[in-house]
Amino acid sequence: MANVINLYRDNQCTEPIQQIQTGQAGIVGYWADPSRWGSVYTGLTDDDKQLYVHHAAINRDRDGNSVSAGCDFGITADGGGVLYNLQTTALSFDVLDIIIKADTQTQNGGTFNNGLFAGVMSYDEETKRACYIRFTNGYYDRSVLTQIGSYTQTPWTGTRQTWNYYTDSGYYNTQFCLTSLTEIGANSRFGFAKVYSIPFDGLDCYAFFVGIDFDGSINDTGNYITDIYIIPKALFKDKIPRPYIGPVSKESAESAFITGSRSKESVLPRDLSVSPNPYGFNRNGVYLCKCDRDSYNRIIAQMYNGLSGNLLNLAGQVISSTIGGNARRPRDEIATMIDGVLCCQSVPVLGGYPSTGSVDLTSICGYSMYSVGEMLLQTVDPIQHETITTGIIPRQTGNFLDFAPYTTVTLTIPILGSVTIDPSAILGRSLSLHFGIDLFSGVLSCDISIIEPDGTSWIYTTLQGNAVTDMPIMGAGANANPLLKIANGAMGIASGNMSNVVGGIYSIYDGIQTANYAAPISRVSHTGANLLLSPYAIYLTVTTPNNSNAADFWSLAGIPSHMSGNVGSFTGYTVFEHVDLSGVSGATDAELSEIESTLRGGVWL
Amino acid sequence: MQITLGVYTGERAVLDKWSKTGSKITIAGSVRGGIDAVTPIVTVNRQILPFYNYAYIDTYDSYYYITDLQNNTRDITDIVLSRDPLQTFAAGIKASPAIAARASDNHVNADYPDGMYKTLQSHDTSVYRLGNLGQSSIIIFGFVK
Repeated sequence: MANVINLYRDNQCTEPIQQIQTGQAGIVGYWADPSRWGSVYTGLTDDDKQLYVHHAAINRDRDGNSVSAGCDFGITADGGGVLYNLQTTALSFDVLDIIIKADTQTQNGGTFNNGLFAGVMSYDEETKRACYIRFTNGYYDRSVLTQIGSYTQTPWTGTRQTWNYYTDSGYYNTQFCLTSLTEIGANSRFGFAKVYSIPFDGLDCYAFFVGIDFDGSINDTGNYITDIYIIPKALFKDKIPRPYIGPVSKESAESAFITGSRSKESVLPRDLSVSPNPYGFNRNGVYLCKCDRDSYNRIIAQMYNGLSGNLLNLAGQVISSTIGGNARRPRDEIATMIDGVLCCQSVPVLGGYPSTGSVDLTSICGYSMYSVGEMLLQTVDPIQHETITTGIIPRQTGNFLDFAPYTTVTLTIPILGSVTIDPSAILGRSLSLHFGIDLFSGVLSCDISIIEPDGTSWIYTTLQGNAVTDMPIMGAGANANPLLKIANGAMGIASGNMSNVVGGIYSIYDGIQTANYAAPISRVSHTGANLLLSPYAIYLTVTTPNNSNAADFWSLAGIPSHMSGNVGSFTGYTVFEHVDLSGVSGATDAELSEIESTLRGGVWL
Repeated sequence: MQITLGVYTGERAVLDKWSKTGSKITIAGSVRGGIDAVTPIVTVNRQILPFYNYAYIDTYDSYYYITDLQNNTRDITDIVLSRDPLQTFAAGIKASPAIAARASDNHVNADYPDGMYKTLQSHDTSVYRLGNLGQSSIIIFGFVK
């Protein structure tokens, strides 16, 4: 680790303005009032491999109130609580992973949200100030960000930037605090900590920007970038899931999927690969969707990972959250809005969920989601598509045993079940699975196509099913809610005190009923709670009989031919079923008969 | 006439035997009785050891199996022959059109159903994992203002 750290004023890292030793602090820039807004310390080591950062200490807002927003992001004592001192710690994703996760007391946390931004959240109980992740996604002119200390909130009207993606996988936020300017009210004062990330052109670095924003109400005069973290891409190298290109794993036939059979290592396909990345199917979690009265077009989804924990978080927050100050309590908000709960256990979702574009959460959502874990905000097109294309499915024996009735090929797709494929259609060819799903109804279809060696394809069959399990939230049905049962069980294990939360959930439900809210409890077609038990992997099984022929069977007995030609064009052992000896002259009838008989019985040529 | 004797040890159902015939000797002989190109008996003035089993007679341009050797006296042997039509008419046979039921080296179609091939009741199973669907739950909450 290098001892010298270059500090940069600009985010291009082109002109170091100061060099400091490891452990020392350097000041890159100030804002108008450092006592209020703190300062930014950034630096790369002289080999540009590690980043040292310091925090932006935001001691108080313009009203003189203490604000901890953003201060806990690699902070020193003058911030809102010391979590990690990054001044002496190289900022790697491992560290970042830690510091963005929630602290149970401060509720600080963050998320890498589809790579578009990272966030740090804080909530000050005393001042009722919270910070949240602000959507950027190229919303702002990247060039403005070069002006450390401020940026303009004017929507970017030029060419939208192409944002390099980080990943949401593996960096889950466990706490998330979000407020809505619109809903909280004009007199509320909320600080917003924002973290933006952009790629640095020409440099192998990414940058995270932590900004402080105010609610546009009293005394709110601007927005500020507090921290800029410039992180070499190299640090992400092993952290960003890459598209999977390579041989697919060949599960042992003794697996739970198939029992009593034997794997056949000799036919392992070396070139069998899938694309795109199966990782693309792992965008899982909880969606919180809101739609306005007019249409579903303005639905945004928040996706959270994890089953029981997030439900518990949600439940707990709904019940106990006091975020919002004088505004309506979130439980009231949600109680009036919950329309239904659907559990989508396994869903083929695009490797990248639909971009949020320039959607502003505060203007679209209008409601707050509290501490429900990792979040992805989406403007979701409910119809999603995904395609898996395999490499060539190899023939197993190279002879007629590769076909029916000897060989069977079965494709098993979670939710949709299994389908038998004629081996003659698939062996030696590639398979394409095109999924389509309506995220809001759960209707799932899969076109199974065969790709010929010449690249042409044809649809073999189509499967349809429903990926959604309806989750009752009212009345007796709630008691049968398998997800709640799981959640309850998990919580019971975790805390041994599930009655409060469960009771709280039901109290909300009761509240919905009591209020005689329309609460249509929309339901869509589903296939039931058994989806929760559905496996996740897509399998293709090829079952081929073992042979019991003696060695050299084919060299001694021949291989089926049923092909024509002059006798002389055949070589080796040949059995003829038809032969025309009219051209043989000089032989007697008896000899011709002998010749034909010999050819029919098998002759060595 | 000249008769060439040799030793052939291969399969009978072979067209080209002569090239695989060894220990060849050519001696003079005479056909006993009338002309019979199919099953001639050739008399030679010497004793023939019994290991010869294949012969060629240039007069008939035919190849024969030696079916018997009769040493009548010390220096006279009758060679009983039976013509091998496969070798004798090999050229004509090779030019004859045919359809093969089974072959070994070329003109084969391994995908053609083979009723002779034996299989066991047991199977080999290969399992390929093509990918995964989402592995944890997604809950959709619908909100209606």
